[in-house]
Amino acid sequence: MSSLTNRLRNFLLTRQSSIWLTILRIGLGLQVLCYGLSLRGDWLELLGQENQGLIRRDLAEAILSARSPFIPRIGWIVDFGAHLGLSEATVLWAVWTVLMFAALLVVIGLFCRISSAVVWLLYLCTAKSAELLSYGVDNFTIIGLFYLTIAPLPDSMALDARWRGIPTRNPTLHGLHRRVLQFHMCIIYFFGGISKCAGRGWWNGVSLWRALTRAPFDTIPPEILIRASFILLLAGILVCVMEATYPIFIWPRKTRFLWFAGVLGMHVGIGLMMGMYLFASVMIVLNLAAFGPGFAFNRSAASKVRRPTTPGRATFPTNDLSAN
Amino acid sequence: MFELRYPEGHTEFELPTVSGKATGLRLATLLDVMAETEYEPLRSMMVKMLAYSVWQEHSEALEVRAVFGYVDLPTPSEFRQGKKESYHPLFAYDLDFTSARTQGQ
Repeated sequence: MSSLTNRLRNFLLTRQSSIWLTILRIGLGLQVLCYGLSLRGDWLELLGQENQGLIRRDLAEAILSARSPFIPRIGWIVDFGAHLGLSEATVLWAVWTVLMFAALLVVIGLFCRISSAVVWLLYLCTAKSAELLSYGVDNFTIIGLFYLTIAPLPDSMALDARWRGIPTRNPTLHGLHRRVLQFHMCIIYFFGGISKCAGRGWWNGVSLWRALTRAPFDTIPPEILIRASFILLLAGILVCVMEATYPIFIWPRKTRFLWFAGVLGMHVGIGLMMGMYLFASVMIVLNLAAFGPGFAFNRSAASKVRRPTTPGRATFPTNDLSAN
Repeated sequence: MFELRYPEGHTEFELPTVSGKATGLRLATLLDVMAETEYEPLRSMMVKMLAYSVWQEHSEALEVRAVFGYVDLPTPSEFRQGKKESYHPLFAYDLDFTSARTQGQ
């Protein structure tokens, strides 16, 4: 029994370098920058209420309130701005500017904790207030930003560590946080895979065909797709099997790289073939952070022992048991 | 699809438009949500709001008929046999913008 407890403790409290956090921080920061820039032209349309929106924000927020009055939303910030005499449009653009600025700080790793918390909160507010127009990318970005906010920041590449001299945290803490993210990814893929396996369409290629021929995801003409219908059949089965068995085969040393590369390939395919670039990129970032360097493959710099460079600032050797 | 009726009698057909591709993906979600909403007052309100955003771009129109439907995509074997996608209306709303137009003037 104690042996099992020790093994579990060793598994959960493995020592990790902060490279996973560097990937998560830079990746999600860039993700939010791309999100903001891609929606800049329609920002008021998405979040406006004063005769501007596609769907008025108050309707989406009323639906939110029916679920819980405590879900963060843009309406709170707009109301606060109204007390200061600011128009809705001014507040919405201020939110966009602060979100972009904070995301930039996240990318360079300056004031990481506060900037990641600001990005998470503002992203959550915008995604929830525009929930009728949101899809998977928002959920996964919010999940990733939450993990970033509670992560043992700063990582060794952040300006907070390199320039402001803030010490990096205990490698065991990095290990524990990474494990939690890994478990979460396993749960996501397992249930995604099981739900796909339950339908017949993924086993005969029809679901994939429909996904790729349906507007606005029909970036490849169906006349070209039909020539490769046997690939659709194979790809559909592969997606089912890979997702459903992800929590099993991502852990053993012999299969982890294959599953990791397969899932990354799947997301690259989704991005290119369906035009869902932001969705693909957030999934790639989460996978790289969870199972990338130091796990599915070893990055030499990540696995080397680094000597402390400044007093009171130590970096630690990685000792990921599962990677050894 | 929105059918815009003008005072002089002519009719135009419009689809909701957004300026960016990223928002276009989100608009697809909204249309799915509308189609799946079973609570009629909520669905009606969403349709009215979307119709209003379209009408704002064509504020000369007196009436907007919003027709919602789904596109039945052929399976790969049906596509090989030459079957094309088909459109099936689900529900329609007639919206009068006469008063909104008067207020705008």
